[in-house]
Formats: sequence, C-alpha cells, structure tokens
Amino acid sequence: MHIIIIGAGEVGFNIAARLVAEGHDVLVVEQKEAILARVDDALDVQTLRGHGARPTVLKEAGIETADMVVAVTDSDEVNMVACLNAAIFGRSDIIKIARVRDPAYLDERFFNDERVTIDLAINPERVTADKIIGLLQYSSITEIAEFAQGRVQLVRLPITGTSPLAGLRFIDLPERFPKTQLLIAALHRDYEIIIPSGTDVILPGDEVYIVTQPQQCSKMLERLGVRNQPSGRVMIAGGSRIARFIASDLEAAGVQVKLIEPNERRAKEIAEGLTKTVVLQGEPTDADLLTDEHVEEMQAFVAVGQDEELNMMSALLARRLGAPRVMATTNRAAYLPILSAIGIDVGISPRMVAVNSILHFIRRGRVVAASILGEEATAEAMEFEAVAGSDAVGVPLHAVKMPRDSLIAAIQRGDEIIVPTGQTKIEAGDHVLVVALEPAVAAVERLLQRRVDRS
Amino acid sequence: MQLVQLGHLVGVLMMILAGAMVPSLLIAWYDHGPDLPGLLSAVQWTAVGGAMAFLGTRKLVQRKALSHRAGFLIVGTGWLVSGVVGALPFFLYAHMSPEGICDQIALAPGSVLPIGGEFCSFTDAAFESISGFTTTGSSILTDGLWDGPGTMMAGERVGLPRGVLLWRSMTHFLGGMGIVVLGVAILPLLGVGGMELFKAEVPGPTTDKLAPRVGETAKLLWKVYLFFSGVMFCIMMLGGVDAFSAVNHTMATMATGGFSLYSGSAASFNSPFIEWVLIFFMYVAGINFNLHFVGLRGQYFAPLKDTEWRVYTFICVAFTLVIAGALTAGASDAPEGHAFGFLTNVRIAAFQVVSTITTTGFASADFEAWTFAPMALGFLMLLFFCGGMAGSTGGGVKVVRHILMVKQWLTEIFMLVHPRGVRPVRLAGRPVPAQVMRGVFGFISAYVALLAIGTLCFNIDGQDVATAFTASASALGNVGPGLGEIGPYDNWSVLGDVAKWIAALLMILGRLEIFTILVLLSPQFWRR
Repeated sequence: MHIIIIGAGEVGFNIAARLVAEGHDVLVVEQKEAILARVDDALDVQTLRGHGARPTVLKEAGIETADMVVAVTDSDEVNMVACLNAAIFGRSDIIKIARVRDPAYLDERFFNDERVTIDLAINPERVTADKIIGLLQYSSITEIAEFAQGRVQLVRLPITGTSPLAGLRFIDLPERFPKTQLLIAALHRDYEIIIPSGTDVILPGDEVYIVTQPQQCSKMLERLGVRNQPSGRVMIAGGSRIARFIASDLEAAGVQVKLIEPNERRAKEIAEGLTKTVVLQGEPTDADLLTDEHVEEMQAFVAVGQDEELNMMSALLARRLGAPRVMATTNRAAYLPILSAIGIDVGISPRMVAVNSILHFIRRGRVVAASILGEEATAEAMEFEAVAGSDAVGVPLHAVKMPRDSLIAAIQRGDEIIVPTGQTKIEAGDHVLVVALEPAVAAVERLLQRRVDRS
Repeated sequence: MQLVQLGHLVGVLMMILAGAMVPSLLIAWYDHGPDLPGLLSAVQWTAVGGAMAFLGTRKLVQRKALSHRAGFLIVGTGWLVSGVVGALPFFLYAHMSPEGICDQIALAPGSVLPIGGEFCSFTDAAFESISGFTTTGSSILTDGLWDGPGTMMAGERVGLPRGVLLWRSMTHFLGGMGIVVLGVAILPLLGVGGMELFKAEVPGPTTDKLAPRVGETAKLLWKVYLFFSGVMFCIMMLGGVDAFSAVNHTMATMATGGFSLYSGSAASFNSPFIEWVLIFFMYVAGINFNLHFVGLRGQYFAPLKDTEWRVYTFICVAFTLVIAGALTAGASDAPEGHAFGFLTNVRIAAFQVVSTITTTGFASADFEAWTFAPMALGFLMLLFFCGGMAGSTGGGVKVVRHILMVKQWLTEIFMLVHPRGVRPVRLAGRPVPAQVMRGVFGFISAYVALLAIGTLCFNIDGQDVATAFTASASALGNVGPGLGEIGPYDNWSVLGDVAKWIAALLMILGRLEIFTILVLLSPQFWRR
C-alpha cells in the first residue's frame, strides 16, 4: 500500500516504522526540518517538507494515487482538514485516519456524515483513559486486553512469593485448579515475554497473562488467592486531558477522586468541568500536600500529567508515602520498561496507544482485533477469523502444527467462548485468539487464513 | 450631554405615566366621581411636563449608546420621578375634590379624617405611590377602602372613588414588570444601551436575554406578564368577582404588590375559591418570567429542572405544611375565629406563605393573632427575608441568592478540609462566575446593614422594636405588612413624615436591588 503520514511526531514516527516493517510504501509529510531529518536517518521512507493540510503539499505527496492518509499532527484541525482534502483530491476509496484529541469534535454525526468521510478518528487520550479506568476495576492486574467484543480478556497478573501459582509447572495447573479452566497464555519474565511450554515453572516476580472472561475474572483471581477490590478512592496527579476523562468517568461511577494540578488557572478550569472530584492546586511532587490529602488512604495513584519525568517522580513519591498502587503515563516508549523496573505498577504510553489503534485499523479484515503485550512490544495477542480450508480447521488442536512461540488462547464460536484443549477442533468462521511472539505473527496468520489446496 | 439624555428619557417616562393614568380618568369621568378634577389635572400636568422634557431635548439628544453610568442614573431618576408623579393623582384628588376634603381637615383639625384625607399630605401621597410602584403594598390609608365586594352595586359609594383606586393598582402593575423595562419594550430609541437599563431594573444576580435584542426581550417579558394577567382576570370573573375588582386584584397579584380594594384584603372575598386563585397566581408571579417564557414556548417541563424553582416550590410547600400543622396543633388555645381544621389551615397557611415569600402582602388571616402558635408566626417571619425567584415580579433577597450563599458556606467548609482545594460554586452544574458570587455577598451584607439602619430609624421615630424591625424588613423586601403597629390589618400612618420617606427610600432600594441606588450616592459616580 502507498501510505501518506502527516506529522512525524512520536506517533507518526512509530507508525511509519511499523508500516515500513510490514512492507508498505510510506511517505512522511512534516513541517519541521529537524524532525524530518531524523525520520530520513532512521527510516526507509520518503519525506516531504510542508504543511500537510494544504492541497498543494498533498498533491506533491502523490495523494492522487495513495491508498491511505494518516494525519497525526498535534493539531486536530490540521488533521481533519488534511483528511477532508484527501477525500477531495485523492482516490474515492482512499482510507483516511485522523488523530482527534478534543472530545468536543468527536461527535458521531460528524464522523458518520458522508460529506466528511473520515474513516477513523482516534483519540489516544480517551483510549488511554479507558485503559486506566479498566485497570482501576481490579486491585492487582497490570494490563487488560479485550477480544471478541469484550467477552474475552487477557489479563496480566504479577506473581508474588505467596501466590499459589508460584513454583508450579504449567502441566500441573489443571490438577491444582480443577474447578477453573485456567489458561496462562504467556509469561513475562526479565523484560521478556515467554510463550510457556508444559515444563516451564512459574516463579515469584513473573507476570502471567491469563485468558478469562470479564464476569469470571474476579472469581478466578480469588481462587488464585488475590483479593480483588475495585478502587474506591483514587488520586490523579496532573490535570491533563487523560486526567479529566478518568476523573469524570470515575466520579460518575461513584469513586472518590482527588486531582492535583499545579497551574492555578488550569486547576480552576478543571474544577469547573467536574462536579464531585476534589480538585487541588499544588505540585504533585509536594510530599506535604500528598500527606495532607491522605495519599495512603487511596487505593490507586495515577500520574498522568504532561511531563513524564514528573509523572514518574510523583508516582514514586506516592508509593513511598503509602499508596498501594501507582500508575504513570509516559510518551516515550523507551521509558516503559524502566517504569516497572523502578516499582511503578502500571506504565502506559498514550502515543503507543495511538500507534496501536492505527495499526489495528490498517490491518483490519485480516485481524479482527489485536493487542501488543508487554512494555517491550515483543509479543502480540490477535483475534483471527479462521478461514475454511486452512490447515488449522477441522483438525484436533494437538494435531495442528503451531508455529514456534505461539499459542491458541481461546475460540469464539457464535455466542460461545471455548477454552481450547488438545481435542478441540477449530471450525471455519470461528474467531481464534492467538498469542504469539513478533517473529511468529506472520506464520500464525498464514496458518489460520491461507486456504490449502487439498486435492 | 448626560443631562440632556436623562431629560429626554424622563420625558418619555412621564408620557407613559400620563397614558397609564388615562383609564383612571375615564372611569372617574364615567362615575362622575369626586376624583375627576384631580385626575384630569394630574394627567394634564404629567403629559405636558413629559412632552416639554421630551420635545425640548429632542434636538440636542444624540443617538448614541447609553453609558454604564447613564443607565444607573436614568433608572434611579426614573423611579424617583415615577414616585413623585404617581403621587399626583392622590394628592390632586384630595385637594381638588368637590367635597373639599382638605378644607374639612383644616376646619376641624384633630377630628376623624374624612375619606381620602390622608392624601392631603404630599408625604402620604408619595408614600402610597412609591409603595405602589415598588410593589410593596404598604398603605397609609386609615379608612376609605371598601368593606367588601358589592359595595358599588347600589350606586352608592362607601370609600375611595374608583379612579383613585384603579391608579393605586396601576402603580403596582407598572412597577411589577418594571416601568423602565416597559420603556425599553415599546421604544426603539432605547435599543442602544437598553441592556444597561434592563439589568438595573430586572431583579436577580444575573440577567439573561431571551432574544437577541434587548427590546425584543423586554417585549417578550411584558407579553408573558400580560398573558398571565389576562388568564387570572378571566378566572376571577368566572369566580363571580365583578370586573373592576378582578382588574384591580389581578394587577396587584401579578405584580406581587398587595394593594386590595377592601379593608379585609383577600378575606373580604369570603371565598375559598378566590383565595386559591390568588395563591396560585401569587405563586406564578414569584417565578422567574424567563422560565414562564420557556414553558409557554412549548418546553413545558424544562422549567421543572431549574434549581431555583425547585427550592422555591419546596419552601412554599414545606412552610405551608409546617404552619398549617402548627396552627392546627394550637387550635385548642386559639381565639375566636382562628380555630380551624387542618384543611382550612392549609389554605390559610398557603395564602400567608405564598403572599409573604413572593412579597405580595395580601392577607387572608390576621397572622398577628397567631400568638397561640408561635412556631407558625416564626416560620412566616423567616419568609420576610426570602423573596421570590430572580427575574420574577417579587422583591426581597431572592431564592437564588440564598442558594448561592449556602453553597458558598459549603465551599468554605470544603476549603477548611482541603486548604489547597479548588472548587467553584455551581448552580445546575454550571460554575457561577466569581463576580456574581461577589455581587451576591455584597448584596446580602448591604441588605442586612440597611435592615439594621432602617430599624434604627424607625426606633428613633418612636416605634417599638417589633414594629420598627418588621417595618424595615417589610419595606426593604417590598412585602407590605409587618407586625405590631403595622400588622396585616393595620396601616403605616403611625409613622412620622421623615420615617415615611425613609420607608419609601428603603422600598426603592429593595426594588432596584440596592446598588443601583447606592451607586448614585457615591462621589465616584459623579466624578468625570
């Protein structure tokens, strides 16, 4: 595909990198010369300097023949106008994706209107906030990925020394937990993801990815000795857009929220937009303020300000002052592994969230849903539709030759969710959830979706 | 230049007033009443004076936007002029009556006043007029009101003539929605800068525009006002009230004024139905007219979501039930004519409650006699300081200011718990701007101060504490009656002349919400 990316910030850069890796032809449009130079050095893409919303620039970038436009500058308006211009000057079937962050623009009627035709408007802050809100439903889970329209979840659970799972071999799991169909799809150990085999042992300090369903998740956690409790008191540091999304959703759900914002004017603005949240004006790294506001009584501390270093520091401070669970956002993907290393329970990058949403959209058709696992982005969980005639269909699973480092985690057949065993057969049309390390992804895709001529 | 503009607009105002006197004049002429010469002369003087001021300044006046200051000056002056001009029909009636009312007093000083004799004093005439325009409804008439409906039927007259009484009610009607608002509504020349005038006269901490143009907004408000008045008039007629009485009581009710034709006020109708009609329309007049407008335009249920309306209605209902309960509980000790069952007490309580909260001042019972149920009287007295809704024709502090004040208290408590907290006061989900909150607190503190100063003035005048305090509260809140010497079936003639002027000043301060008048008294205002 010929893809034009407008804006080479963190999001644009990462998307370009991934798309190049997947074999697409990419052209990057960017106004700032220095940023463009970095793209030129690091990626095998074409570059063009200019204002991406302007028809002249778009024409120069070859909009007439492009298959897709991805507008991800920092300005919502530029992104939207770029898409509108792409609709006018490009082919009629060109795919248009815009990053739109201001929630006021995200009106359904606008994006569904045939005169607008923006195929995907992504709001990374909204998605990030939703992820954090989802994590706040549980007291111990550090990552949630949803599949089969939210009916299957992959949750990431840290293993402590006292956990009943610690020290167990995978083949012993069914024996130890006969009542639960416990399927551990992956293991996160020492900054790496491992697709486990039967003889692997779960160690304290590991994190396991468990396949579950939303309504059974807390029961399952209970069996594993984890007392689960949704966060009833949450402190948010930094008055970013993510903070506002989280605060307004949580306060509507009856959670007690405190929000700290250093800027006085901004604090006032935020206070006007929220009703029950206690908005506090002060530095999130002010230990006295955190103590006065009883950070130790909170069930979670979420640092989501603009400044990622400040987020990390305030999260660490909150942890030291007694917050049982701390989360932080960072826009630098490189920081993500560090966050967990220094003791921050959950780290999320809104930029990477944006990259993922866009990538999934680009890959749609082939992959129903997908989620990158872990901070290092070395593994992926994907939901495929099994195609009739492929190698995996109609054969018991123990007879299917799965690629190395891949695992079938769940099967959705109609309304039924099946936890697979060796005897299970995949039928054509089933949605299959596969967890695989990056090198195995392409092979898995081939296995489930390529028709084999059996004649 | 400001003076020219002021003269021009005061001229317009006087012509409106002259026009408003015409119905009184017509009815006096139809009755061949003793008020005909006085009213004729009042209309002449007002019309000629107004026309001279208007025409004399027409060449000089520039069609430019009114300044902020000019707005206050015009509204303040307008109300003083209205008070004085409005006194003319009363004063001239007494002096020009063929019965020679004032001569009788001069011939036999100290004897019982003849009917209308109070109006021989200009102070009393002006008090009555200002009390009318500010929709207070306090009267200095000792005698002269009719005994009850039907007094006119036999063609004989027992009391004041109809022309004078109609003018008395007319002052209410003009002052209710606001005479300056009326001017803005009917005169396109006030369009520029009219908003300043509009804001200065419409009560409440903030003023909303219903239409893009202020003239249009004023017109809409007057239309809603006239609509409800029309409906009320028809219902009164259906209830068997004669047309003249229905007109007068409708005007006094919709303006939340309180002047009645009858010495027994609403009790003289002797009809529970009419009392309920009055209760309902007093309640309606105490509601923000913007809400009425929204409701009448088709969004019938939108007003029900209004916070202020909910609180206002809750207070009406809750106080009615509490007072009715207290009256019923104390019925065994009640004096003759005050012991009733619960349902009758609900009606009595509802009437006094709504009459007081909307600052109308009609009475269907002598609440001074409620000594057998101190709790009932105590609750009723609280309402003297409540007032109707902002943007209604009612006076007083207004419900919304109380709501904002309580919310500010809650914010203060919040700030003590969270010293670094940031929390705006919000009303119906919307944050209230800081300057509005400042205005509310400035208003309430000034209100309390004026209340105290007024009380002191009436004490100096020689009134006992109960009379002085309630007189001050009643005048400032535009309620009407008080306690002691000025109870619901007493009158204000006990006050001395100076005290009457002070009461009149308090009424205007209350009607224009204090600062519109206070600003005129500050030296800064007059500095160039």
